[in-house]
Amino acid sequence: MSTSLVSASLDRPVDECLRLMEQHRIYHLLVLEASGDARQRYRGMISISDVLRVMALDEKSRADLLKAFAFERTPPH
Amino acid sequence: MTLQDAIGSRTDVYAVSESLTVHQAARYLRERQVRAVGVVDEHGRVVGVLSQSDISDKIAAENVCPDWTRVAEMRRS
Repeated sequence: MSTSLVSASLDRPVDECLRLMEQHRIYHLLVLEASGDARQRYRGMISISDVLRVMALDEKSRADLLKAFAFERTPPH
Repeated sequence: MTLQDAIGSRTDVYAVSESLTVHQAARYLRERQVRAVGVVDEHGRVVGVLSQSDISDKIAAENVCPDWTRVAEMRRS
């Protein structure tokens, strides 16, 4: 069990989380959520593959949008 | 894109108590098909992270009995 806890809050950008994992050479982060009484609630773990998956999906949707814009427009008459 | 997007609508939060035996914790990881889980103390505070590699390195490789060892005994900094 590792007790050097590396955590991130829910509003942390995913690319920062990736850098954090890289810096600490770890594959999982604790996810914490601020709760009303200044404490932080444990929301589970996020793995490096979870982070990479959403980043890849985000890049793909951007690429699809660009592709649709560039190649699928009806040519003007 | 933030951790909230990566976590999505995940509703299950997995954690093990540090009073569980390593055998019980290993079964917990296997049943839920996760590689790491938060470890909580008797007050529900997160005190560590237990991963499959911890179990492999500290228990299996050291020939320690997982049924006689508590998760709390696996603390390392």
